[in-house]
Amino acid sequence: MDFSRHFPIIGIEAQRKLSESTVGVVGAGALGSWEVYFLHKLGVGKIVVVDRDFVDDSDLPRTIYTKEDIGKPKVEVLKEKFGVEGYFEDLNPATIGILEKVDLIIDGTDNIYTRQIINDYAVKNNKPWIYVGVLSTYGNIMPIIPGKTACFRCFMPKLPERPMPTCAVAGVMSYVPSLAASIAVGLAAKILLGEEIKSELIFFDTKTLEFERVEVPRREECPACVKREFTFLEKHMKIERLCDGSIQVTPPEKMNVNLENLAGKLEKLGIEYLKTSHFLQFEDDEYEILIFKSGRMIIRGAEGEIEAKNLFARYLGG
Amino acid sequence: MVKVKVFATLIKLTGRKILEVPAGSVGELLEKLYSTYPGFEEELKRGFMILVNGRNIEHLQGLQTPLREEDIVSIFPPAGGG
Repeated sequence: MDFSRHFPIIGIEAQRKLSESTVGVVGAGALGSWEVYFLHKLGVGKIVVVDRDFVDDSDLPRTIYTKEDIGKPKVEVLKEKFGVEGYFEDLNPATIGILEKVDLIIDGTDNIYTRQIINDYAVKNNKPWIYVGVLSTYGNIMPIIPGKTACFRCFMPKLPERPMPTCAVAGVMSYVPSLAASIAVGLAAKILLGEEIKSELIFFDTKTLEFERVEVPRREECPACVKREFTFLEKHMKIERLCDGSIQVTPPEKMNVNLENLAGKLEKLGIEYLKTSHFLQFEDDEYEILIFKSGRMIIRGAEGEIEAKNLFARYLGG
Repeated sequence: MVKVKVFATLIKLTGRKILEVPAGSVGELLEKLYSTYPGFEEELKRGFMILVNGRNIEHLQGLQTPLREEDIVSIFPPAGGG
């Protein structure tokens, strides 16, 4: 690629530096696929992608994938299109070593739990990373330079007690993830080129046309970047097969799921459900799902761990 | 007066992005916002994050977090999807 249009802005030397850089992208969905796209167009030398999912029809409006990619592992498509180093893996404390050689990590995940794992790993190994999240018509981006800026845990203390709304449930507009990815890759370029980065969270909303920067200070008592207690590299989401063949997912920390709220969202999606004071039961395609107040989830019809984790992320965003 | 910055769907309810509200604590501030702007409480239940000068109130004293004149409170929806 001819990057000459970049030269008046960053110079040839900086472009060369980008071409020698390695960036890790965790997740290859809406955010991740656009992040890879923009990193490739930026001229980043090597892109490492970790993702455990396949391209689905419902991904097409907000990702770089097209109809003929349906059914293929997302990392395989990114390998073909952009020559990335792809790992068809679940990112967890046991596999995160895949990111050992990257200079920077960009977040393309869809849940807070994985972000806390990335944060612990990045802070522990002194690697910069960028938190990126989208929902509905808005997005958040936060660059994290260990030891310099606030880390993700300075900002978000623990796993949310109440589940965060997810794109599957609350929805997301097609043009939102690419905007978040574009801003994140712009920040990645700044970090890779050694420019100054502020400790802040960037918020945008395509509906209200807001673009805001909120200064986020480091937290003196932060368990991750101050006390260096990397608990998320130790905690595990428990996934077990029950006697009847269903799979049970137990989050690493007890949640307090508002079943009423979740039921309301299912209703909007046209999903029928049964609600008691303890659990919510419904069907999603071939799966039968039970969600308890504590965040425990039982899935009938799921074949393995990855499917179960994906469903957990879809409905509870943990 | 505490300066309150509201984001996203909350602007529709308040009509303005920056509000000035006299309040001695986050709890008191929220009560005032709830009574002034119909629907505000309902909207917040969808999962908003409250920061005082950039610090999450969960790290401070929650709803008891004291507020002073020059404090800036930001109320925004964290985005967890991807």
